[in-house]
Amino acid sequence: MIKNNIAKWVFASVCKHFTDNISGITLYIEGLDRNTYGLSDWCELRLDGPNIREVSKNLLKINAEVNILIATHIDVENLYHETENINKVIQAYIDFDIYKYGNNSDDTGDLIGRFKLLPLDDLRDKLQITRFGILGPALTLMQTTTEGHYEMLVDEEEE
Amino acid sequence: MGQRSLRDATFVIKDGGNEEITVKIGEGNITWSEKRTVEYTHERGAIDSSRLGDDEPCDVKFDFVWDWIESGSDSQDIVGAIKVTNSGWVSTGAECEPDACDLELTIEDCSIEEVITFSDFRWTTLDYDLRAGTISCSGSCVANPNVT
Repeated sequence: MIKNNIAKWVFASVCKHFTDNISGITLYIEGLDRNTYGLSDWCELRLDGPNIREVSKNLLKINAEVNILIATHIDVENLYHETENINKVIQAYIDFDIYKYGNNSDDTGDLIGRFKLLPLDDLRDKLQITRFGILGPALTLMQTTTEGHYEMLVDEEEE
Repeated sequence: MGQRSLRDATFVIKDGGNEEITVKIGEGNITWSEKRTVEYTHERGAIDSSRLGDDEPCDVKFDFVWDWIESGSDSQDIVGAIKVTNSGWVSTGAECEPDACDLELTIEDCSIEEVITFSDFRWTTLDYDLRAGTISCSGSCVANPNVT
């Protein structure tokens, strides 16, 4: 039953994809210990979902939201420093495959399906960048969130 | 007392031989309309009697997930099944008539199974919606469905 493990497989595949495809800035996964001491910039991935819906018999629609928080220290000599960090992150928001990753006997590493980034022209399902600016007058840290919505269909009978 | 839904249903297209293919309905639907005509005889403006008129075909409409139309890995696809153009497929209809296939809807729940068969389905429209990733098919059968 794919439903029993899909949450782990989606999470593991999302973590691997974004870890492999974001470079030039340190990426942390929410829930892991992190030490940002000495780092000027970093980002952190959080996954909402996956939401699982059986749209017809044995056909599952799985969707999730990938949210990456970017922390940027102000660079007084480079106005574009924050947007450069955003660019390093959003280039990873592409379609990618979901595999049965994990440490248990069910985690065979086999391909399940392709997670598709939902269309950008849909007002509800867009790659969204939200800039919060400087967090407080005493801080030189700016925060930005990026969010993309993904979806795939899985036929349980083929799994 | 229960209520049946698409989550209980398996939808299969069959040809006149041994070929068949399972349809992924996805977020779509299957609908049909059983029809009959009733003719009324009037007697000085008032309805006097009634009788059944000519047979009417049963209209069927269903949607399915837009996978590859003709480039699937096994050369068997839903559109090809509807059109009876898949390799090895033969029509369920009589010779010289437009190609037809059978539609079989199996509803299964709590070890009870009901099979609804639409014989000699002939498509009339195929509507493609790439944004939704769905294809909708409309057509008709020569008779109302048989339920077993």
